[in-house]
Amino acid sequence: MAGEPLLETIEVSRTYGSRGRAVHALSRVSLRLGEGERLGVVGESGSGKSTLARILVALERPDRGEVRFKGRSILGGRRQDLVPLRKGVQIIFQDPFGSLDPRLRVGRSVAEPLLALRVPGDHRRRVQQLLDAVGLPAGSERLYPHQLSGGQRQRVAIARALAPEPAVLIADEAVSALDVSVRAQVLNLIADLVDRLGLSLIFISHDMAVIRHVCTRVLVLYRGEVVEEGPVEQIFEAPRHSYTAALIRSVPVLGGRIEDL
Amino acid sequence: MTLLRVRGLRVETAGLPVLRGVDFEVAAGERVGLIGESGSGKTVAALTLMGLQPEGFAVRGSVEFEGRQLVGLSDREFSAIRGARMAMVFQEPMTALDPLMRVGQQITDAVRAHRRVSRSEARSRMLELMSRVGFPLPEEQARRFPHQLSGGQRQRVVIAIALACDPALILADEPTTALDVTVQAQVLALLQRLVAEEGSALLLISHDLAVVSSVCQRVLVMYGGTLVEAGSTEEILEAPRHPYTAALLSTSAGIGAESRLAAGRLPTIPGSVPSLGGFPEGCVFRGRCPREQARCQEAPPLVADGHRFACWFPLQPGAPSKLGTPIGR
Repeated sequence: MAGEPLLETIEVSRTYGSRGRAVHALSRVSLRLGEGERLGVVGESGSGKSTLARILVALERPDRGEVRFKGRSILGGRRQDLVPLRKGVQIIFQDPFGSLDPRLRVGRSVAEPLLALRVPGDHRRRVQQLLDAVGLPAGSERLYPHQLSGGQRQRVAIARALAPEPAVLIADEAVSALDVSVRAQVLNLIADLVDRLGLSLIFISHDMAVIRHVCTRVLVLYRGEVVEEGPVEQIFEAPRHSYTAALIRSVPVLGGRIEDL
Repeated sequence: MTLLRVRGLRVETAGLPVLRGVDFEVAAGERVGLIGESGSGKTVAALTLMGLQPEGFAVRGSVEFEGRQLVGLSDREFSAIRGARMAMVFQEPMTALDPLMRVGQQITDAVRAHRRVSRSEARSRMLELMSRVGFPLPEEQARRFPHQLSGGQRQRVVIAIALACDPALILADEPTTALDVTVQAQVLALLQRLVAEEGSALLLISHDLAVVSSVCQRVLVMYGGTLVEAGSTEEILEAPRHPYTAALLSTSAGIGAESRLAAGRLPTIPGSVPSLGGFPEGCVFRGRCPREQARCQEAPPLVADGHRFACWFPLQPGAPSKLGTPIGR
Protein backbone atom coordinates (compact mmCIF):
# COMPACT_ATOMS: atom_id res chain seq x y z
CA MET A 1 0.00 0.00 0.00
CA ALA A 2 1.39 3.34 -0.98
CA GLY A 3 1.56 6.38 1.25
CA GLU A 4 0.94 7.00 4.92
CA PRO A 5 -1.93 4.97 6.38
CA LEU A 6 -4.88 7.01 7.63
CA LEU A 7 -5.60 4.74 10.57
CA GLU A 8 -3.34 1.98 11.81
CA THR A 9 -2.67 -0.37 14.67
CA ILE A 10 0.81 -1.74 15.28
CA GLU A 11 1.09 -5.06 17.14
CA VAL A 12 -1.87 -4.28 19.34
CA SER A 13 -2.65 -6.73 22.15
CA ARG A 14 -5.48 -6.77 24.66
CA THR A 15 -5.98 -9.26 27.46
CA TYR A 16 -9.03 -9.52 29.70
CA GLY A 17 -9.13 -11.02 33.14
CA SER A 18 -6.27 -11.65 35.48
CA ARG A 19 -3.37 -14.08 35.48
CA GLY A 20 -4.36 -17.69 35.36
CA ARG A 21 -7.71 -16.97 33.73
CA ALA A 22 -6.54 -14.43 31.20
CA VAL A 23 -8.23 -14.27 27.82
CA HIS A 24 -6.17 -12.91 24.96
CA ALA A 25 -8.75 -10.94 23.04
CA LEU A 26 -6.15 -9.60 20.62
CA SER A 27 -2.56 -10.71 20.06
CA ARG A 28 -0.22 -8.44 18.11
CA VAL A 29 -2.76 -7.29 15.56
CA SER A 30 -1.47 -4.86 12.95
CA LEU A 31 -3.89 -3.16 10.63
CA ARG A 32 -3.31 -0.41 8.07
CA LEU A 33 -6.13 1.52 6.46
CA GLY A 34 -5.06 3.64 3.49
CA GLU A 35 -6.80 6.75 2.25
CA GLY A 36 -9.97 5.80 0.36
CA GLU A 37 -9.47 2.12 1.10
CA ARG A 38 -12.22 -0.33 1.99
CA LEU A 39 -10.85 -2.87 4.43
CA GLY A 40 -12.83 -5.84 5.72
CA VAL A 41 -12.22 -7.50 9.05
CA VAL A 42 -13.84 -10.91 9.20
CA GLY A 43 -14.16 -13.00 12.31
CA GLU A 44 -16.71 -14.73 14.51
CA SER A 45 -17.61 -14.47 18.18
CA GLY A 46 -14.43 -14.51 20.21
CA SER A 47 -12.23 -13.46 17.30
CA GLY A 48 -11.51 -10.12 18.93
CA LYS A 49 -13.12 -8.10 16.16
CA SER A 50 -15.29 -6.03 18.50
CA THR A 51 -12.35 -5.34 20.81
CA LEU A 52 -10.41 -4.18 17.77
CA ALA A 53 -13.28 -1.87 16.75
CA ARG A 54 -13.42 -0.37 20.25
CA ILE A 55 -9.66 0.18 20.29
CA LEU A 56 -9.79 1.88 16.89
CA VAL A 57 -12.27 4.46 18.17
CA ALA A 58 -10.51 4.78 21.56
CA LEU A 59 -13.37 3.35 23.58
CA GLU A 60 -10.80 0.96 24.94
CA ARG A 61 -7.00 0.98 25.31
CA PRO A 62 -4.73 -1.85 24.23
CA ASP A 63 -2.33 -3.36 26.78
CA ARG A 64 0.48 -3.20 24.26
CA GLY A 65 1.03 -1.76 20.83
CA GLU A 66 0.32 1.52 19.10
CA VAL A 67 -2.73 3.08 17.45
CA ARG A 68 -2.26 6.02 15.08
CA PHE A 69 -4.69 8.28 13.29
CA LYS A 70 -3.13 10.41 10.54
CA GLY A 71 0.30 9.45 11.81
CA ARG A 72 -0.27 10.57 15.42
CA SER A 73 -0.69 8.28 18.39
CA ILE A 74 -4.10 8.33 20.03
CA LEU A 75 -2.80 6.60 23.16
CA GLY A 76 -1.05 9.61 24.68
CA GLY A 77 -3.72 9.94 27.33
CA ARG A 78 -4.31 13.64 26.76
CA ARG A 79 -7.86 14.58 25.93
CA GLN A 80 -6.97 16.98 23.14
CA ASP A 81 -5.08 14.20 21.36
CA LEU A 82 -8.39 12.47 20.84
CA VAL A 83 -10.23 15.38 19.25
CA PRO A 84 -9.12 14.68 15.65
CA LEU A 85 -10.08 11.02 16.15
CA ARG A 86 -13.49 11.82 17.60
CA LYS A 87 -14.27 13.92 14.55
CA GLY A 88 -12.45 11.92 11.94
CA VAL A 89 -13.43 8.35 12.82
CA GLN A 90 -17.08 7.34 13.26
CA ILE A 91 -18.56 3.97 14.04
CA ILE A 92 -21.91 2.28 13.44
CA PHE A 93 -22.86 -0.75 15.49
CA GLN A 94 -24.99 -3.82 14.88
CA ASP A 95 -27.99 -2.78 16.87
CA PRO A 96 -29.12 0.76 16.15
CA PHE A 97 -31.82 0.35 18.79
CA GLY A 98 -29.10 0.07 21.36
CA SER A 99 -27.05 2.97 20.06
CA LEU A 100 -29.88 5.48 19.57
CA ASP A 101 -31.37 7.13 22.64
CA PRO A 102 -35.03 6.03 22.68
CA ARG A 103 -36.10 9.32 24.27
CA LEU A 104 -34.57 11.52 21.59
CA ARG A 105 -36.20 12.36 18.29
CA VAL A 106 -34.23 11.29 15.24
CA GLY A 107 -33.24 14.86 14.37
CA ARG A 108 -31.80 15.42 17.82
CA SER A 109 -29.84 12.14 17.73
CA VAL A 110 -28.28 13.06 14.40
CA ALA A 111 -27.44 16.58 15.62
CA GLU A 112 -25.84 15.31 18.81
CA PRO A 113 -22.29 14.78 17.49
CA LEU A 114 -22.45 18.25 15.90
CA LEU A 115 -23.21 19.74 19.31
CA ALA A 116 -20.73 17.59 21.19
CA LEU A 117 -17.89 18.35 18.78
CA ARG A 118 -18.91 22.02 18.51
CA VAL A 119 -19.19 21.87 14.75
CA PRO A 120 -20.16 25.34 13.51
CA GLY A 121 -22.96 26.02 11.03
CA ASP A 122 -26.70 25.51 10.67
CA HIS A 123 -27.28 22.17 12.41
CA ARG A 124 -30.92 21.94 11.43
CA ARG A 125 -30.07 22.19 7.77
CA ARG A 126 -27.18 19.76 8.09
CA VAL A 127 -29.50 17.21 9.74
CA GLN A 128 -31.97 17.56 6.87
CA GLN A 129 -29.20 16.99 4.33
CA LEU A 130 -27.93 13.95 6.21
CA LEU A 131 -31.35 12.33 6.57
CA ASP A 132 -31.93 12.96 2.89
CA ALA A 133 -28.53 11.47 2.01
CA VAL A 134 -29.35 8.22 3.81
CA GLY A 135 -32.73 7.98 2.08
CA LEU A 136 -35.06 8.81 4.95
CA PRO A 137 -38.26 10.66 4.01
CA ALA A 138 -38.87 14.29 4.95
CA GLY A 139 -40.31 14.57 8.43
CA SER A 140 -38.26 11.65 9.79
CA GLU A 141 -36.42 14.02 12.10
CA ARG A 142 -39.54 14.34 14.24
CA LEU A 143 -39.91 10.60 14.84
CA TYR A 144 -38.64 8.49 17.74
CA PRO A 145 -36.50 5.36 17.16
CA HIS A 146 -39.34 2.98 18.04
CA GLN A 147 -41.42 4.43 15.20
CA LEU A 148 -38.85 3.26 12.66
CA SER A 149 -38.06 -0.14 11.17
CA GLY A 150 -34.69 -1.80 11.77
CA GLY A 151 -33.38 -0.68 8.40
CA GLN A 152 -34.54 2.90 8.97
CA ARG A 153 -32.89 2.96 12.41
CA GLN A 154 -29.63 1.83 10.84
CA ARG A 155 -29.99 4.68 8.33
CA VAL A 156 -30.34 7.10 11.24
CA ALA A 157 -27.19 5.65 12.82
CA ILE A 158 -25.37 6.14 9.52
CA ALA A 159 -26.60 9.74 9.22
CA ARG A 160 -25.37 10.44 12.73
CA ALA A 161 -21.99 8.87 11.99
CA LEU A 162 -21.62 11.06 8.91
CA ALA A 163 -22.62 14.27 10.69
CA PRO A 164 -19.11 15.40 11.71
CA GLU A 165 -17.80 14.67 8.18
CA PRO A 166 -15.48 11.85 9.20
CA ALA A 167 -12.62 10.56 7.05
CA VAL A 168 -13.07 6.99 8.31
CA LEU A 169 -16.27 5.04 8.80
CA ILE A 170 -16.16 1.85 10.85
CA ALA A 171 -19.11 -0.51 10.51
CA ASP A 172 -19.20 -3.18 13.23
CA GLU A 173 -21.67 -5.88 12.10
CA ALA A 174 -23.80 -3.02 10.82
CA VAL A 175 -26.11 -5.15 8.66
CA SER A 176 -26.08 -8.44 10.56
CA ALA A 177 -29.37 -7.87 12.36
CA LEU A 178 -31.24 -6.90 9.19
CA ASP A 179 -33.38 -9.01 6.86
CA VAL A 180 -31.75 -9.99 3.59
CA SER A 181 -33.58 -7.44 1.44
CA VAL A 182 -33.05 -4.59 3.89
CA ARG A 183 -29.43 -5.66 4.25
CA ALA A 184 -28.94 -5.17 0.50
CA GLN A 185 -30.42 -1.66 0.70
CA VAL A 186 -28.18 -0.64 3.60
CA LEU A 187 -25.07 -2.18 1.97
CA ASN A 188 -25.76 -0.25 -1.22
CA LEU A 189 -26.19 2.89 0.84
CA ILE A 190 -22.90 2.41 2.70
CA ALA A 191 -21.03 1.65 -0.55
CA ASP A 192 -22.56 4.70 -2.27
CA LEU A 193 -21.76 7.04 0.59
CA VAL A 194 -18.20 5.76 0.85
CA ASP A 195 -17.74 6.36 -2.89
CA ARG A 196 -19.49 9.71 -2.97
CA LEU A 197 -17.89 11.18 0.14
CA GLY A 198 -14.48 9.65 -0.48
CA LEU A 199 -14.52 7.88 2.89
CA SER A 200 -12.20 5.16 4.04
CA LEU A 201 -14.06 2.17 5.40
CA ILE A 202 -13.40 -0.59 7.90
CA PHE A 203 -16.20 -3.11 7.59
CA ILE A 204 -16.25 -5.66 10.40
CA SER A 205 -18.42 -8.74 9.95
CA HIS A 206 -18.68 -12.46 10.47
CA ASP A 207 -20.07 -12.79 6.96
CA MET A 208 -17.54 -13.24 4.16
CA ALA A 209 -20.20 -12.70 1.50
CA VAL A 210 -20.98 -9.23 2.79
CA ILE A 211 -17.27 -8.37 3.14
CA ARG A 212 -16.67 -9.50 -0.41
CA HIS A 213 -19.33 -7.17 -1.65
CA VAL A 214 -18.11 -4.05 0.11
CA CYS A 215 -14.35 -4.38 0.57
CA THR A 216 -11.23 -4.64 -1.54
CA ARG A 217 -8.90 -6.04 1.10
CA VAL A 218 -9.69 -8.33 4.02
CA LEU A 219 -8.05 -9.34 7.25
CA VAL A 220 -9.17 -12.60 8.85
CA LEU A 221 -9.21 -12.66 12.65
CA TYR A 222 -9.28 -15.93 14.55
CA ARG A 223 -8.93 -16.09 18.34
CA GLY A 224 -7.40 -12.65 18.46
CA GLU A 225 -4.82 -13.21 15.77
CA VAL A 226 -4.64 -12.22 12.13
CA VAL A 227 -4.47 -15.56 10.33
CA GLU A 228 -4.76 -14.27 6.79
CA GLU A 229 -4.75 -10.96 4.97
CA GLY A 230 -4.94 -9.93 1.33
CA PRO A 231 -7.09 -8.78 -1.58
CA VAL A 232 -10.66 -9.97 -0.99
CA GLU A 233 -11.03 -11.76 -4.34
CA GLN A 234 -7.77 -13.62 -3.88
CA ILE A 235 -8.76 -14.80 -0.42
CA PHE A 236 -12.20 -15.79 -1.66
CA GLU A 237 -10.80 -17.80 -4.56
CA ALA A 238 -7.83 -19.35 -2.81
CA PRO A 239 -7.93 -19.11 0.99
CA ARG A 240 -4.69 -20.29 2.54
CA HIS A 241 -5.74 -20.75 6.14
CA SER A 242 -8.11 -23.60 6.96
CA TYR A 243 -10.23 -21.28 9.12
CA THR A 244 -10.74 -18.87 6.23
CA ALA A 245 -11.74 -21.79 4.03
CA ALA A 246 -14.29 -22.92 6.65
CA LEU A 247 -15.70 -19.39 6.87
CA ILE A 248 -16.22 -19.24 3.12
CA ARG A 249 -17.67 -22.75 2.96
CA SER A 250 -20.14 -21.95 5.73
CA VAL A 251 -21.87 -19.09 3.92
CA PRO A 252 -25.22 -20.51 2.87
CA VAL A 253 -25.95 -20.14 -0.83
CA LEU A 254 -29.21 -20.45 -2.73
CA GLY A 255 -29.97 -24.07 -3.45
CA GLY A 256 -26.72 -25.11 -1.83
CA ARG A 257 -26.15 -27.96 0.54
CA ILE A 258 -25.40 -27.78 4.20
CA GLU A 259 -22.06 -29.39 4.81
CA ASP A 260 -21.19 -31.03 8.07
CA LEU A 261 -17.99 -29.27 9.05
CA MET B 1 -49.32 -38.76 4.60
CA THR B 2 -50.40 -35.29 5.60
CA LEU B 3 -49.23 -34.41 9.07
CA LEU B 4 -50.28 -30.79 9.25
CA ARG B 5 -53.08 -29.23 7.23
CA VAL B 6 -53.64 -25.48 7.56
CA ARG B 7 -56.75 -24.04 5.92
CA GLY B 8 -57.90 -20.42 5.82
CA LEU B 9 -55.84 -19.50 8.87
CA ARG B 10 -56.64 -15.95 9.87
CA VAL B 11 -55.18 -14.14 12.83
CA GLU B 12 -56.22 -10.66 13.85
CA THR B 13 -55.24 -8.29 16.59
CA ALA B 14 -57.04 -5.07 17.38
CA GLY B 15 -59.00 -5.52 14.14
CA LEU B 16 -55.82 -5.64 12.04
CA PRO B 17 -55.08 -8.76 10.02
CA VAL B 18 -51.75 -10.45 10.81
CA LEU B 19 -52.50 -13.57 8.78
CA ARG B 20 -55.02 -13.20 5.96
CA GLY B 21 -56.12 -16.74 5.27
CA VAL B 22 -53.18 -19.07 4.91
CA ASP B 23 -53.34 -22.55 3.36
CA PHE B 24 -50.56 -25.12 3.38
CA GLU B 25 -49.72 -28.67 4.28
CA VAL B 26 -46.73 -30.48 5.69
CA ALA B 27 -46.34 -34.21 5.04
CA ALA B 28 -44.84 -36.58 7.58
CA GLY B 29 -41.05 -36.45 7.46
CA GLU B 30 -41.06 -33.49 5.07
CA ARG B 31 -38.75 -30.46 5.41
CA VAL B 32 -40.66 -27.28 4.57
CA GLY B 33 -39.30 -23.76 4.71
CA LEU B 34 -41.44 -20.73 5.52
CA ILE B 35 -39.72 -17.65 4.23
CA GLY B 36 -40.62 -14.07 5.03
CA GLU B 37 -39.17 -10.79 6.18
CA SER B 38 -39.86 -8.99 9.45
CA GLY B 39 -43.52 -8.07 9.44
CA SER B 40 -44.56 -10.89 7.10
CA GLY B 41 -46.43 -12.75 9.83
CA LYS B 42 -44.18 -15.82 9.77
CA THR B 43 -43.49 -15.85 13.50
CA VAL B 44 -47.15 -15.33 14.36
CA ALA B 45 -47.92 -18.27 12.06
CA ALA B 46 -45.46 -20.45 13.97
CA LEU B 47 -46.74 -19.36 17.37
CA THR B 48 -50.34 -19.92 16.29
CA LEU B 49 -49.56 -23.47 15.14
CA MET B 50 -48.18 -24.11 18.63
CA GLY B 51 -51.14 -22.42 20.34
CA LEU B 52 -48.76 -19.79 21.70
CA GLN B 53 -50.11 -16.71 19.93
CA PRO B 54 -49.99 -13.62 22.14
CA GLU B 55 -52.93 -12.51 24.24
CA GLY B 56 -55.51 -10.63 22.20
CA PHE B 57 -54.79 -12.42 18.93
CA ALA B 58 -57.99 -13.88 17.48
CA VAL B 59 -57.50 -17.08 15.49
CA ARG B 60 -59.91 -18.38 12.86
CA GLY B 61 -59.67 -21.12 10.28
CA SER B 62 -58.42 -24.64 10.63
CA VAL B 63 -55.18 -26.25 11.76
CA GLU B 64 -55.35 -30.02 11.62
CA PHE B 65 -52.40 -31.86 13.13
CA GLU B 66 -52.33 -35.67 12.98
CA GLY B 67 -56.02 -35.47 12.11
CA ARG B 68 -56.90 -33.39 15.14
CA GLN B 69 -58.29 -29.85 15.02
CA LEU B 70 -56.06 -27.51 17.02
CA VAL B 71 -57.91 -24.22 16.61
CA GLY B 72 -60.06 -23.70 19.67
CA LEU B 73 -58.22 -26.15 21.94
CA SER B 74 -57.81 -25.08 25.54
CA ASP B 75 -54.34 -24.27 26.85
CA ARG B 76 -54.37 -27.52 28.74
CA GLU B 77 -55.26 -29.62 25.71
CA PHE B 78 -52.63 -27.80 23.67
CA SER B 79 -49.89 -28.35 26.20
CA ALA B 80 -50.40 -32.11 25.92
CA ILE B 81 -49.55 -31.87 22.22
CA ARG B 82 -46.79 -29.30 22.54
CA GLY B 83 -43.50 -30.89 23.40
CA ALA B 84 -44.89 -34.37 22.88
CA ARG B 85 -45.89 -34.36 19.21
CA MET B 86 -44.75 -30.89 18.19
CA ALA B 87 -41.66 -29.10 19.41
CA MET B 88 -40.24 -25.68 18.81
CA VAL B 89 -36.71 -24.29 18.46
CA PHE B 90 -36.47 -20.53 18.80
CA GLN B 91 -33.96 -17.95 17.63
CA GLU B 92 -32.45 -17.16 21.00
CA PRO B 93 -31.66 -20.33 22.96
CA MET B 94 -30.88 -18.36 26.11
CA THR B 95 -34.53 -17.40 26.48
CA ALA B 96 -35.71 -20.97 25.91
CA LEU B 97 -33.47 -22.39 28.64
CA ASP B 98 -33.72 -21.94 32.39
CA PRO B 99 -30.55 -20.06 33.37
CA LEU B 100 -30.56 -21.54 36.88
CA MET B 101 -30.84 -25.18 35.93
CA ARG B 102 -28.14 -27.52 34.63
CA VAL B 103 -28.73 -28.34 31.00
CA GLY B 104 -28.83 -32.10 31.57
CA GLN B 105 -31.64 -31.65 34.08
CA GLN B 106 -33.60 -29.53 31.58
CA ILE B 107 -33.37 -32.29 29.00
CA THR B 108 -34.31 -34.93 31.59
CA ASP B 109 -37.34 -32.87 32.62
CA ALA B 110 -38.42 -32.68 28.98
CA VAL B 111 -38.13 -36.46 28.67
CA ARG B 112 -40.23 -37.01 31.80
CA ALA B 113 -42.78 -34.30 31.04
CA HIS B 114 -44.59 -36.41 28.49
CA ARG B 115 -43.57 -39.96 29.28
CA ARG B 116 -43.78 -42.23 32.27
CA VAL B 117 -40.20 -43.34 32.60
CA SER B 118 -38.01 -44.00 35.60
CA ARG B 119 -35.35 -41.54 36.69
CA SER B 120 -32.54 -43.72 35.41
CA GLU B 121 -34.27 -44.31 32.07
CA ALA B 122 -34.80 -40.56 31.70
CA ARG B 123 -31.16 -39.94 32.52
CA SER B 124 -29.86 -42.42 30.01
CA ARG B 125 -32.20 -40.96 27.37
CA MET B 126 -30.82 -37.51 28.26
CA LEU B 127 -27.21 -38.69 27.82
CA GLU B 128 -28.09 -40.31 24.52
CA LEU B 129 -29.74 -37.08 23.30
CA MET B 130 -26.77 -35.00 24.37
CA SER B 131 -24.33 -37.13 22.50
CA ARG B 132 -26.59 -37.21 19.45
CA VAL B 133 -26.71 -33.41 19.28
CA GLY B 134 -22.93 -33.35 19.39
CA PHE B 135 -21.71 -33.17 22.99
CA PRO B 136 -18.68 -35.50 23.07
CA LEU B 137 -18.64 -35.72 26.89
CA PRO B 138 -22.32 -35.83 27.82
CA GLU B 139 -21.89 -36.83 31.48
CA GLU B 140 -19.65 -33.88 32.12
CA GLN B 141 -21.35 -31.36 29.85
CA ALA B 142 -24.79 -32.20 31.28
CA ARG B 143 -23.64 -30.54 34.50
CA ARG B 144 -23.09 -27.18 32.84
CA PHE B 145 -25.39 -24.22 33.21
CA PRO B 146 -26.57 -22.45 30.03
CA HIS B 147 -24.24 -19.48 30.54
CA GLN B 148 -21.28 -21.87 30.57
CA LEU B 149 -22.05 -22.93 27.01
CA SER B 150 -21.50 -21.17 23.70
CA GLY B 151 -24.46 -19.98 21.62
CA GLY B 152 -24.15 -22.97 19.31
CA GLN B 153 -24.00 -25.41 22.24
CA ARG B 154 -27.06 -23.81 23.81
CA GLN B 155 -28.97 -24.24 20.57
CA ARG B 156 -27.88 -27.91 20.56
CA VAL B 157 -29.39 -28.28 24.04
CA VAL B 158 -32.64 -26.74 22.81
CA ILE B 159 -32.66 -29.19 19.91
CA ALA B 160 -32.09 -32.07 22.34
CA ILE B 161 -35.09 -30.86 24.37
CA ALA B 162 -37.15 -30.63 21.18
CA LEU B 163 -36.22 -34.21 20.29
CA ALA B 164 -36.85 -35.55 23.79
CA CYS B 165 -40.24 -37.02 22.95
CA ASP B 166 -39.83 -38.01 19.30
CA PRO B 167 -41.99 -35.20 17.95
CA ALA B 168 -43.70 -35.69 14.60
CA LEU B 169 -43.09 -32.00 13.78
CA ILE B 170 -40.31 -29.62 14.73
CA LEU B 171 -40.93 -25.91 14.21
CA ALA B 172 -37.70 -23.97 14.06
CA ASP B 173 -38.08 -20.17 13.99
CA GLU B 174 -34.81 -18.52 12.84
CA PRO B 175 -32.87 -21.17 14.80
CA THR B 176 -29.47 -20.02 13.53
CA THR B 177 -29.92 -16.30 13.00
CA ALA B 178 -28.12 -15.38 16.22
CA LEU B 179 -25.20 -17.72 15.52
CA ASP B 180 -21.88 -17.27 13.71
CA VAL B 181 -21.71 -18.57 10.14
CA THR B 182 -19.60 -21.64 10.87
CA VAL B 183 -21.79 -22.52 13.86
CA GLN B 184 -24.91 -21.88 11.78
CA ALA B 185 -23.71 -24.43 9.23
CA GLN B 186 -23.08 -26.98 11.99
CA VAL B 187 -26.48 -26.47 13.63
CA LEU B 188 -28.33 -26.64 10.30
CA ALA B 189 -26.48 -29.82 9.37
CA LEU B 190 -27.37 -31.30 12.76
CA LEU B 191 -31.03 -30.35 12.45
CA GLN B 192 -31.23 -31.79 8.98
CA ARG B 193 -29.56 -35.06 10.02
CA LEU B 194 -31.66 -35.48 13.15
CA VAL B 195 -35.04 -34.95 11.50
CA ALA B 196 -34.03 -37.50 8.86
CA GLU B 197 -33.00 -40.03 11.53
CA GLU B 198 -36.12 -39.45 13.62
CA GLY B 199 -38.48 -39.25 10.68
CA SER B 200 -39.81 -35.95 12.02
CA ALA B 201 -41.11 -33.23 9.76
CA LEU B 202 -39.41 -29.84 9.93
CA LEU B 203 -40.99 -26.44 9.43
CA LEU B 204 -38.03 -24.07 9.17
CA ILE B 205 -38.94 -20.41 9.43
CA SER B 206 -36.41 -17.85 8.25
CA HIS B 207 -35.88 -14.59 6.40
CA ASP B 208 -32.88 -16.15 4.66
CA LEU B 209 -33.74 -17.92 1.45
CA ALA B 210 -30.22 -19.33 1.20
CA VAL B 211 -30.63 -21.09 4.56
CA VAL B 212 -34.11 -22.38 3.78
CA SER B 213 -33.25 -23.58 0.29
CA SER B 214 -30.20 -25.45 1.55
CA VAL B 215 -32.22 -27.45 4.07
CA CYS B 216 -35.79 -27.76 2.80
CA GLN B 217 -37.53 -29.72 0.06
CA ARG B 218 -40.40 -27.27 -0.25
CA VAL B 219 -40.64 -23.51 0.27
CA LEU B 220 -43.59 -21.31 1.31
CA VAL B 221 -43.14 -17.60 0.67
CA MET B 222 -45.04 -15.24 2.95
CA TYR B 223 -45.56 -11.50 2.61
CA GLY B 224 -48.01 -9.29 4.45
CA GLY B 225 -49.69 -12.21 6.18
CA THR B 226 -50.39 -13.90 2.85
CA LEU B 227 -48.83 -16.93 1.26
CA VAL B 228 -47.77 -15.49 -2.08
CA GLU B 229 -46.03 -18.57 -3.48
CA ALA B 230 -45.48 -22.22 -2.59
CA GLY B 231 -43.57 -24.90 -4.44
CA SER B 232 -40.65 -27.26 -4.42
CA THR B 233 -37.30 -25.65 -3.65
CA GLU B 234 -36.26 -26.13 -7.28
CA GLU B 235 -39.45 -24.51 -8.60
CA ILE B 236 -39.08 -21.54 -6.29
CA LEU B 237 -35.40 -21.02 -7.08
CA GLU B 238 -35.49 -21.69 -10.78
CA ALA B 239 -38.95 -20.59 -11.86
CA PRO B 240 -40.43 -18.15 -9.35
CA ARG B 241 -43.83 -16.85 -10.52
CA HIS B 242 -44.55 -14.18 -7.92
CA PRO B 243 -42.65 -10.88 -8.34
CA TYR B 244 -41.95 -10.76 -4.58
CA THR B 245 -40.29 -14.19 -4.65
CA ALA B 246 -38.23 -13.18 -7.67
CA ALA B 247 -37.15 -9.96 -5.95
CA LEU B 248 -36.20 -11.81 -2.78
CA LEU B 249 -34.21 -14.30 -4.85
CA SER B 250 -32.22 -11.70 -6.70
CA THR B 251 -31.46 -9.89 -3.44
CA SER B 252 -30.26 -13.12 -1.81
CA ALA B 253 -28.25 -14.14 -4.85
CA GLY B 254 -26.69 -10.68 -5.09
CA ILE B 255 -25.05 -10.70 -1.69
CA GLY B 256 -23.55 -14.14 -2.06
CA ALA B 257 -22.48 -14.13 -5.64
CA GLU B 258 -19.96 -11.59 -6.73
CA SER B 259 -17.89 -8.73 -5.52
CA ARG B 260 -19.42 -5.32 -5.86
CA LEU B 261 -16.70 -4.33 -8.29
CA ALA B 262 -17.91 -7.10 -10.57
CA ALA B 263 -21.62 -6.86 -9.89
CA GLY B 264 -22.30 -3.18 -9.30
CA ARG B 265 -25.14 -2.42 -6.94
CA LEU B 266 -26.99 -5.16 -5.14
CA PRO B 267 -30.49 -5.75 -6.40
CA THR B 268 -33.01 -4.55 -3.81
CA ILE B 269 -36.77 -4.45 -3.42
CA PRO B 270 -38.06 -0.89 -3.72
CA GLY B 271 -39.61 0.58 -0.60
CA SER B 272 -39.96 -1.22 2.70
CA VAL B 273 -42.31 -3.70 4.36
CA PRO B 274 -45.29 -1.70 5.67
CA SER B 275 -46.17 -1.96 9.33
CA LEU B 276 -49.20 -3.89 10.52
CA GLY B 277 -52.32 -2.24 9.15
CA GLY B 278 -50.29 -0.41 6.51
CA PHE B 279 -50.55 -3.04 3.77
CA PRO B 280 -52.62 -2.04 0.74
CA GLU B 281 -56.04 -3.48 -0.09
CA GLY B 282 -55.99 -6.10 -2.80
CA CYS B 283 -52.60 -7.62 -3.51
CA VAL B 284 -50.42 -6.99 -0.46
CA PHE B 285 -47.30 -6.44 -2.60
CA ARG B 286 -48.94 -3.53 -4.42
CA GLY B 287 -46.87 -0.34 -4.33
CA ARG B 288 -43.56 -2.24 -4.36
CA CYS B 289 -44.25 -4.42 -7.37
CA PRO B 290 -42.80 -3.68 -10.82
CA ARG B 291 -45.64 -5.59 -12.52
CA GLU B 292 -48.56 -3.86 -10.82
CA GLN B 293 -51.66 -3.04 -12.86
CA ALA B 294 -55.20 -1.85 -12.11
CA ARG B 295 -56.47 -5.36 -11.48
CA CYS B 296 -54.10 -5.73 -8.53
CA GLN B 297 -56.53 -3.68 -6.41
CA GLU B 298 -58.37 -6.96 -6.12
CA ALA B 299 -56.60 -9.64 -4.05
CA PRO B 300 -55.33 -12.45 -6.30
CA PRO B 301 -56.17 -16.01 -5.23
CA LEU B 302 -53.50 -18.64 -4.67
CA VAL B 303 -53.75 -20.64 -7.88
CA ALA B 304 -51.98 -23.77 -8.98
CA ASP B 305 -50.09 -23.83 -12.26
CA GLY B 306 -47.23 -26.23 -11.74
CA HIS B 307 -46.86 -24.82 -8.26
CA ARG B 308 -49.01 -22.35 -6.34
CA PHE B 309 -48.76 -18.55 -6.49
CA ALA B 310 -51.00 -15.56 -5.87
CA CYS B 311 -50.49 -13.04 -8.66
CA TRP B 312 -52.60 -11.68 -11.54
CA PHE B 313 -49.51 -11.03 -13.67
CA PRO B 314 -47.06 -13.78 -12.79
CA LEU B 315 -43.60 -14.09 -14.24
CA GLN B 316 -43.47 -16.66 -17.01
CA PRO B 317 -41.41 -19.71 -16.19
CA GLY B 318 -38.09 -19.55 -17.98
CA ALA B 319 -38.36 -15.82 -18.68
CA PRO B 320 -35.53 -13.85 -17.11
CA SER B 321 -36.93 -11.72 -14.34
CA LYS B 322 -36.92 -8.00 -15.04
CA LEU B 323 -36.66 -6.74 -11.53
CA GLY B 324 -36.93 -3.08 -10.86
CA THR B 325 -37.83 -2.30 -14.47
CA PRO B 326 -41.45 -1.96 -15.56
CA ILE B 327 -42.66 -4.85 -17.65
CA GLY B 328 -44.23 -3.98 -21.03
CA ARG B 329 -47.96 -4.52 -21.24
